[in-house]
Amino acid sequence: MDLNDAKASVVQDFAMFDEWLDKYEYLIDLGKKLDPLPEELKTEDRLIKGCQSRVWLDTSFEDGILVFRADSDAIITKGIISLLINVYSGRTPAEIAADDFSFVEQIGLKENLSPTRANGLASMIATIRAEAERYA
Amino acid sequence: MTVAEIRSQFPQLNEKVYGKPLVYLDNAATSLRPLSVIRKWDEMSSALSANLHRAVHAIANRATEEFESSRQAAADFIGAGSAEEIVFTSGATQGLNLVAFCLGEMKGFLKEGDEIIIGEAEHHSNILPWQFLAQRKGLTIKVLPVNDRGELRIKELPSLLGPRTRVCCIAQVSNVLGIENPVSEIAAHCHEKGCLLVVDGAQGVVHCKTSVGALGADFYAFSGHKLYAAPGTGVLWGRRDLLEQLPPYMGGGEMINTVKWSGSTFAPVPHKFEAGTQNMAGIPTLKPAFAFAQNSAHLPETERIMAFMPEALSRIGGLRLYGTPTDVSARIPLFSFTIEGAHHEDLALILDKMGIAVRSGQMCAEPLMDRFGVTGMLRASFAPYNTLEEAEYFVESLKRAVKMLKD
Repeated sequence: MDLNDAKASVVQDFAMFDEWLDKYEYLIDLGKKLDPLPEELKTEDRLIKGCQSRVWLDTSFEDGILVFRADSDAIITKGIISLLINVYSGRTPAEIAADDFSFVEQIGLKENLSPTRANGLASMIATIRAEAERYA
Repeated sequence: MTVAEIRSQFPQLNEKVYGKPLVYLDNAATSLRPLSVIRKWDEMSSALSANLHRAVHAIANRATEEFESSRQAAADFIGAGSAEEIVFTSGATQGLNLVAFCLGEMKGFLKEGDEIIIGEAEHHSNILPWQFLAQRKGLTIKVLPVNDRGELRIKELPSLLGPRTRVCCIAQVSNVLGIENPVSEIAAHCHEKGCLLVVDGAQGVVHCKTSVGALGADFYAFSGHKLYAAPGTGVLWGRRDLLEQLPPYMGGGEMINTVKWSGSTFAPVPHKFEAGTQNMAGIPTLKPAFAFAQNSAHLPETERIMAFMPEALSRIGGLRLYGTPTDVSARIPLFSFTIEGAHHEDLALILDKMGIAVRSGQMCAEPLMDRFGVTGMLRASFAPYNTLEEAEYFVESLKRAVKMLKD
């Protein structure tokens, strides 16, 4: 699936739910499905700064594509980072760096998190973008 | 007053969040404000805007009267000997910083190698000012630990109190554990060894009938915003002789006597500590706030919530409640807990969508989180306007949230 289709698919999924509790159920489900990060990769340098719960992002770069793996001790946060890496993992650094991440606005995620948690979301996005720029 | 009568005085209770009635259980962070407070706040802004103490005109005089009558009300509320022992601050944090800073500058009080004792359950506001002071003056900080129930291990206090211990800093009630500490007993130990006792009353003043004399504290600080008054208001009470010995905290405004290039002299207490323009609209709201606090203490409904909550929480699988005193009468209506397999942040996010405002995280008490080996907790804290029905809705919603997270 190309990047635009991946984003459109997430937006479509979210549009199915009217209630935010249902959207949380969806995120919780995503969080539960995400493969846990091996304990030895949950290091201080992989922690995303600015999140209330702990979120680790591991980046590897092989054959011109970036692969992200992530984990969090809070399940909704894990669902959010899972949603992001489902969209952005396995793509070229240039493709990610050129993206505006605006689909996150479309699903209303930011508005539905409290300000401290919305900052956490912004940090996740900034970290993914910075990783892409580092390899681009 | 009935709970219904009380609720009608708090307009924010009519707010809806996500279309659901607001259930406000974050009172230990900031309380809601009654109409009496809102009206006073409005009156100070709409009719009595003028700077205090300095002008001769009519509005300034009336504003000054409002401000100063709050000082007397504060003295009466906490049983201080005189209104002159009441220093207005922006909150407990400023009060504690003021004491820590000024004790550090008080002639001959501290020497390198002196010691400070701090309770293990303290809020960061009663840790950081002392860490700053310790760094500046080369002091050692010792910790008075809590047991697994969250009670201070008072028996260890006499051995911690040495000949070099100068100050002991304790909360009347911890903002996480909700247990009233035996402050007068701590005071007796401290004074026997010539150590000063600084008490953080931010939570205690809201729920415990407080007399600074009976507590035996040397300094006592609290915030207005947790006690139904305007935010940015607070009180620091200090023993008169100590306040007089302390140097000023900040310079400027009405805290002076004379200012000369050759040196300056300062106003008598408490004005010596009130530099710059004061919170003119906010401070006068303390008076109606004290009146509300007095009239709403220990309502039958609050007692019912107190009986219901620990029991109902204990029936949730994997839940650990922190702050379970042997003496149940030492508990205030504040409940901090963790649930195995359900992160506090997830729970708070889901409860928010159900219209419930609670606190999650470290609650400005990171050393206490470390002590219990957790990254954070969830806290529900109640006020006189909360109902048993809300407590029941909270517990049911919590169970639903846990189910969403665990299933």
